[in-house]
Amino acid sequence: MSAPEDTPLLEIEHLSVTFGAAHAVRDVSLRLDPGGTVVVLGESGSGKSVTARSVLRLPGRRASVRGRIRLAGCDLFALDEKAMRQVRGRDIGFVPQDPNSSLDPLRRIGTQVEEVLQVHGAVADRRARRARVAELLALVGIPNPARTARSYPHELSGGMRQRVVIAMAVACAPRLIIADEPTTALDVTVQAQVLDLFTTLQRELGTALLLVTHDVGVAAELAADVVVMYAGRIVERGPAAAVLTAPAHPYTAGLLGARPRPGLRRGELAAIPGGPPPATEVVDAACAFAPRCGRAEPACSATAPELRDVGPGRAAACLLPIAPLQEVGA
Amino acid sequence: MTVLPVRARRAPAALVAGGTLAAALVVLAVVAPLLPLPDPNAGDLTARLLPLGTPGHPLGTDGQGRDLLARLVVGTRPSLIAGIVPVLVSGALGTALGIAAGMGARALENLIMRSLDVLFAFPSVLLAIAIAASLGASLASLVVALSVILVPAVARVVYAETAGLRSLDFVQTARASGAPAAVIALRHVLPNVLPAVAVYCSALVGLSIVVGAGLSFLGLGVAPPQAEWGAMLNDLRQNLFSNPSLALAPAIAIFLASAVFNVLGEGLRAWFDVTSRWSQ
Amino acid sequence: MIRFLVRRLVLAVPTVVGVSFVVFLTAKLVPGDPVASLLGPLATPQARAELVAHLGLDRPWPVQFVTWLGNALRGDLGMAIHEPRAVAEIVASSFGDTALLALAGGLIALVGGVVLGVLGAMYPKRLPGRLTSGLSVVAMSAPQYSVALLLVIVFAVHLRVLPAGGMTDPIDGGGLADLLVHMVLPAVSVALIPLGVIARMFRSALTEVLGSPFVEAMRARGIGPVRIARHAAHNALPALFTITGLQLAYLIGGVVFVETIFSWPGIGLTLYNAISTRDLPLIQGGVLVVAVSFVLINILVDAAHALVDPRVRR
Ligand SMILES: Nc1ncnc2c1ncn2[C@@H]1O[C@H](COP(=O)(O)OP(=O)(O)OP(=O)(O)O)[C@@H](O)[C@H]1O
Ligand SMILES: [Mg+2]
Repeated sequence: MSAPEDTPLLEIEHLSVTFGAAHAVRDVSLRLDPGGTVVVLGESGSGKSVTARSVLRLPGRRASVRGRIRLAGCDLFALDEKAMRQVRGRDIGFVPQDPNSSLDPLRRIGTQVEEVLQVHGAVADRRARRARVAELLALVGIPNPARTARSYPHELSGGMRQRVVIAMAVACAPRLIIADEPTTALDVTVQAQVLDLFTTLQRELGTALLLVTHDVGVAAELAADVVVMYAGRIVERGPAAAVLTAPAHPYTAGLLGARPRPGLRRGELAAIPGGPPPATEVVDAACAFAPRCGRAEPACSATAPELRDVGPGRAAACLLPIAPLQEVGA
Repeated sequence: MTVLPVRARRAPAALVAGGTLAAALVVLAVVAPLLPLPDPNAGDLTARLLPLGTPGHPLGTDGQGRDLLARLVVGTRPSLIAGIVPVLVSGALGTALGIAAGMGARALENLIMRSLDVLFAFPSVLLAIAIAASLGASLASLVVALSVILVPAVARVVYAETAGLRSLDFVQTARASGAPAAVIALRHVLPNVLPAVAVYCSALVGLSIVVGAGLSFLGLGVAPPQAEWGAMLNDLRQNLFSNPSLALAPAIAIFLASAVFNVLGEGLRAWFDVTSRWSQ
Repeated sequence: MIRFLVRRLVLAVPTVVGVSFVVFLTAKLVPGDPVASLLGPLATPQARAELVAHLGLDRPWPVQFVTWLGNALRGDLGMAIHEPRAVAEIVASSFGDTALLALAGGLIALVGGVVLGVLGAMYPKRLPGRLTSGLSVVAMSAPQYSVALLLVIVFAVHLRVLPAGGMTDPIDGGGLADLLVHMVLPAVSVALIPLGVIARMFRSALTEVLGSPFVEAMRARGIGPVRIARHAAHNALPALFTITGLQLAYLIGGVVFVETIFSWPGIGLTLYNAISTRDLPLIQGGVLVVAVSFVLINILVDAAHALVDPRVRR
């Protein structure tokens, strides 16, 4: 899998995923450069996880998938299952949402980390593999790697388990790490540590990161490119600094308003009214956010807005995007 | 009195079928002596071991020339008694013990649960054999033996339900307001454990029928001339090689009766959805 | 592991004492006057008093129990009434035969149940899946003695391919082939019901494991189906041990019935004969020995459980 310098590492083109009548992901396109970071932001049910899992070709049972996903120029949907298994874990490391249920409860930590190395032939020699396991555990900041390797998952704290899962994801020095809400199951202090860990690993290993979250704070902290999803579609994208300070899409603005901040007075926390439509009820010929949108006009319920440029490196799918100037003046 | 909502839906097919058939069996057991059948205990040594389908004896006759259809029908009553009465007895006793252990003081809880553990440590058929054999072969001793082996299972279920209820708000509130434990148990706990008890007990009837008939089969049930399915089976197996098909009728009757109550139990379980009540 | 076993054994002591006490109590359930029934109506008061003293019936019952338990521990379970032999001797001589049958039945149930359960989990909509559902429904209601009689009718009476009894000495009898031929029907009879239950429960345990997040996480790490199957099997084992432990009681109950039908010279047949002669000491001895071994077997099952699951190893 070699590619010219300027090929993006990950390229998702017109990805659509349906589960029967449920349209979970609609026409999502996204690119991620080697070593770069993209944060996918959105409410529960917006299709973030399905998008992330589709990159691994594990979208879920009974999913039908359209579109194309390329990793360093290689079409992942064209690979056979065996080749795809090698991509998983070796080229793409995956960090699932809940570390507590992502480890085999009956096997020692060390054995499980070692298994990843073994399956992908990363380290052939057994002794060297053991040493590498300890190294990996140390790398993710586990204080006593040798002892942790001998423990069982139930003997570790949630934060330690998440570190173990991250160690497994980076074990084969993948070019891409996909993390699906890796901090949701952790308490706040551990959350920050885990995010730090990601940035450190990225710096040291040159790995690209696709991080899924519903937490605006996480996106702000990683200061990366942000993709905002709503009802299976991308509604806005751009650099975090711009998107999170001056959102162009009313939904993004709503997400930001819905976030509790220090210094915010009561009543100012403007939660978006209502909830997202079920994946079975989203129609193609309208903006899915229109029913909840304070700025909606009749036209919004008649046409589905395309993603259009709204600034340098930014795009939003809205007929009436919030003008940046207006926001600055406000 | 607070009664937690029990999610009741449209009665599932298993409940309708099981309920109807179980009711039919009970009715049969009640009216059996009134049916126009030959005397089940009158032997005819000239008509011994007649095969299935003999005119006048559709299920044939046994080694003493007694009509097997009549014996099968009349045998419904003791067989069902052995299935249902022990479940009623152990249901009441087990509920009382389970609630007492769940609501009572630590010492009481330990005394009850550890004693039940001992009964649980037995393979139940053997405990029943020891008890029934000591009491002497009769339907009553069968019922006692079966009741004893079923109590620990019922009590454990009730105990677990009670423990689940104990932490709920309305019980806590009642406790905080100083209501005596007995009052809380009767007014708040009992009504809420009853659905679970009913479902669980209905499933035990099938088991009780099988073990009860099994003990009769071993010679521990009703006294000889009387008809009972397990005893008939033991009787007919002496002629298994000459007349194998005769033994089929009681064997199948036991199986079907137990199946009917198991289906009823499954139906009740699905209807009340008892298991999912705490997990929300 | 050793500590686990030792602790479980120590904890089993009160259970075993309790079990013995219950068996002792059943002896007290006998209606009427035991002395009168032993001596008959014409006994002199002096003979009565002697017998009462001999049996220890004049002492308070806790003392009677301790004496009885002490004797039992030394292997003295009293004399059988209708046979001039010690109860312990009769029970001991039939214990091995029962253990053999139970072991064979248990093995068939375990292997068959696991195979059927695995196939059912892999092909829920095809024949194995339907078979596990169907069989377990039958298994829940089918009495072992009915199953045994049915097997005798089919295989011994009609097809005449297997014997319906005639096993006099399973352990030192006519060699392995003879043993197997005689054991097939009884072993299958006792195995069938636990087999159905094990198949159903193991299938649902396995299905649950295969759908659990850690299996999905393993897929995402590129781990292949064979390794995943290995992890899944390991994770379904604790459930298997729990099920097997629960089924053991049914298995042993079934053995008692089935031995009677096949004249298998084990404890079940001994009990059957003792029941027909009302030989209570023999019944109580047999029940006590089986119940105590049942407690010990359950400890072994727990130990096996602890061996595969670090979470219960304490
Ligand atoms: N295996 C599946 N079968 C059927 N529908 C599914 C499946 N997986 C996801 N969906 C549906 O697809 C939609 C998007 O789900 P997805 O898990 O991607 O949401 P999400 O943005 O990750 O939300 P969350 O923040 O809750 O994880 C939802 O409506 C969900 O019900
Ligand atoms: Mg998700």
